[in-house]
Amino acid sequence: MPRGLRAWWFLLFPAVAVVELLAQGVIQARVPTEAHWRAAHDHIARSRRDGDLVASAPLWTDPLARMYFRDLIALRDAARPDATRYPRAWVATLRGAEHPDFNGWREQSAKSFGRVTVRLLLNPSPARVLYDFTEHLRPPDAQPVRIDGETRRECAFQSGLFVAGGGLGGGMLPGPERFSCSNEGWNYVGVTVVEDMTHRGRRCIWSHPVQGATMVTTFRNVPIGARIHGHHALAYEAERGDDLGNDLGGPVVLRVRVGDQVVGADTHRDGEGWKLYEFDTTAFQGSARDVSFEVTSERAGMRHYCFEGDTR
Amino acid sequence: MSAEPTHRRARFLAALKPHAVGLALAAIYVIALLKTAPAIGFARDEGFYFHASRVYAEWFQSLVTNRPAAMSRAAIDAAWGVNHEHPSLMKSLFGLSWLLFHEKWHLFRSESLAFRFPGMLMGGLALWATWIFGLRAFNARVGLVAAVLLALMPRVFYHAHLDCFDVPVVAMWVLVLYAYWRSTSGSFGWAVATGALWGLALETKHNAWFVPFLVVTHFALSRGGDIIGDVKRGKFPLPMALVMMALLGPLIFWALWPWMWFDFLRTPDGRPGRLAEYVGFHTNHAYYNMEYLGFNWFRPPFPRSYSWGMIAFTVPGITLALAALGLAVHFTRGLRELPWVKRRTDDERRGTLLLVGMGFLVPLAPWFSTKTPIFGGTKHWFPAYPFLAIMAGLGFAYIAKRLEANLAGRMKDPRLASLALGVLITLPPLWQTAHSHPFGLSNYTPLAGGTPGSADIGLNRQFWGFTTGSLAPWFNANAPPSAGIYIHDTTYEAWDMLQRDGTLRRDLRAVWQVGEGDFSIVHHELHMNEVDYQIWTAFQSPAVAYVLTHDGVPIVSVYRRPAAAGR
Repeated sequence: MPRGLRAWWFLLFPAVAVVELLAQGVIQARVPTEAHWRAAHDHIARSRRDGDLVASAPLWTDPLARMYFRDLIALRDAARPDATRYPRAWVATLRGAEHPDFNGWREQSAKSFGRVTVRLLLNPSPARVLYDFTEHLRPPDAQPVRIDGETRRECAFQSGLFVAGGGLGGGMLPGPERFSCSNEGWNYVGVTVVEDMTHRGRRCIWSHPVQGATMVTTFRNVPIGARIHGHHALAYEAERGDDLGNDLGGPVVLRVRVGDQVVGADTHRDGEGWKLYEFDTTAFQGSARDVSFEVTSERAGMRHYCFEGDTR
Repeated sequence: MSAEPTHRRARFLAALKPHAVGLALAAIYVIALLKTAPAIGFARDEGFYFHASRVYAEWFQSLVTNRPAAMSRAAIDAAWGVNHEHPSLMKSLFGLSWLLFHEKWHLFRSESLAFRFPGMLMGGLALWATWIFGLRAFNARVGLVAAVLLALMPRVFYHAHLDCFDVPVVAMWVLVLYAYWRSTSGSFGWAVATGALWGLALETKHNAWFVPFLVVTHFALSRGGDIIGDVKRGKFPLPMALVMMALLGPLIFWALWPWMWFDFLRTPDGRPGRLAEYVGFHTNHAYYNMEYLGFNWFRPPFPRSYSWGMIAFTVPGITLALAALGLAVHFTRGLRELPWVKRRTDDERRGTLLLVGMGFLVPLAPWFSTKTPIFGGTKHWFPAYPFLAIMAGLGFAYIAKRLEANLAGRMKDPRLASLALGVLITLPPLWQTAHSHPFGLSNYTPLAGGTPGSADIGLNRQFWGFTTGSLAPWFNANAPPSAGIYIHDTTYEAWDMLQRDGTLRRDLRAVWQVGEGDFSIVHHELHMNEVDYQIWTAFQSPAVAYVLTHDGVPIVSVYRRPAAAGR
């Protein structure tokens, strides 16, 4: 550095102010406007096909997507177990962010609407779902039972229920349709949305294990494919434990039968989050069979547990 | 008439001059706070303090009208038992302000403004004290830049609006350390002031517990090496401030807090008394959730980088850069002040830079441990910030001096260049602070990429549920008559105040269960996502009716009950 300039080195510090002013200006200028989001909506609404997924990136923009694209995002899509079944995804993207659900997907097109870029992503190997268990959790397709030793109690279906409760730390709410298995409010089987360990919402079937008993949910005449694919989880606060580090319950075992035959079992342990399981069903492929999900735990307290699955 | 009184008067007026500047700084800040306060909704804690302050104010009223009854244990316990986990000074002032300025004299039409006013005054006082400290310890440039940069920290600006204790204790922290610093030149008056101010600080918030540790350590480091020499000179440097703190501090703490008047140390049946209960509450405080770098921290060990990371992401970059320069330039000078480095044989004040450094570091010390709760974001170490600002002032003063030296002979008045430089360095903090309003807890500096960048890297979006206030215009325009709204993290008292102030329609009802009303809201914090999913389940839809944003980042989502969801 020339000696003359060296005498002014201290001006590097006020230069920080100039850089900060510029950066602040850039940050504010890059914020998308309502018009950008609405233009992105119109583009997606015009171009999407049935079965396409609509999402946004980064993840924190999700509430905005569910506001601006509210007619394009159904509950089953917002709270999807994963994106493997979708052939295509329209992703409203800010500042080039990526969505973790679409790792490995190929970009077919991208179009910018101001600060929002709509990317059309293609799934390299979309799964063909034959039967989604969550979609069929009602009579006559499904029947949960609670088995206490020799006692087998069918859970009673109720629908059109008023849903209220929850709040912070309230965990999963039971939906308006559910099978009640006893007088204990938590002892039901029903579709809900769980907060997983990454704080994402996943639609799944609540089936809290019962100490010394087995919860069995059977789906009738299920078209069987090559495998049963699904996930299971505990609600975030139940899985992470309390502030003092106390262990709140034991592992939960999910055992799946096709007909009378066990095709697989998977144990969910604390810390595993939204856990994938896959069981081979090629032996039954092409047939329609009853499929049962058995849920047990040796320490069933605070096991706010749910599972989901499909045949494919 | 002799010249002596005139001379004394002139000296007195000259001594007042800096305070006129301090008063002006404080007044400008308080006016800015008053003007901007209505846009900030009410935080959870404010709700609790509104209630407590009102109850305390009523007790003060009964003290005037029926003193014997008010002084009975039953009356004292009934009033001062409310929210007794925090000392009473600020809540008393909030309550008296409400009683006098709103109820009696109608100076404030808004109840909330009357409650918040004493907190704002303490914000102004913090600037005043910082200016005076910087001025007396160094020079006017240091003091002025420090006060302005403290005012223009977005988080400080947000908290300075509230009827809470986090900014008041900043003012008390600076005042106590200033008084102590003045006392180190042997002033008995300042030693008494130190003790009295520490008592008031104890009555403000528990950050004040750290002052004795600071004072003892500072005294030991700055005078310890000289003690033998000083004693030989017959100048044993008794830390009178510490003595006064020991005498006056607990006395004032006890005297101003009626809750402590009974069972102070022990209950009649021998159990630990109210002091132990108060201390125990804070030393065994629950761990709340706090997002940092994409993870929801809810129990120890907490990340050691938390306090430093949050300072880096929330204090304007130029303030940090100047503070770093100030520290670098003065570090060796600070070392030379220490008796181990340079033996002193005079009675001059010593350890000023050390005190500035300790004033900054000691409030941060609890977070050197990974066990200290981090739920308060940055507010719990706010007392460090005046001293960070003074370091920034030192950095600025150094640059200005170099600039003027380089420009000497090249321009008529090089001080104009310093003035321009001063304006330049205040622009980013001013912009950031103005832009952060009213989302002070959501705002992050350009170092984090602003609010969008902070969402990318996973920093806490807000806490306390105060942003419901920013939804008032939307609800006023869009909610049907008597609509019920699940208000999530907002307390009833905060909601009630929005209606009492006239900000929110009075026919709207707060409801307490997700799915119970016509609308449900979610304050976006990572661990609160579960409330989103509860609403999806209750309404059988993820569709959001309205999203309140800051720089495009969701702050609160409003869900409207779909017709199909039934009632």
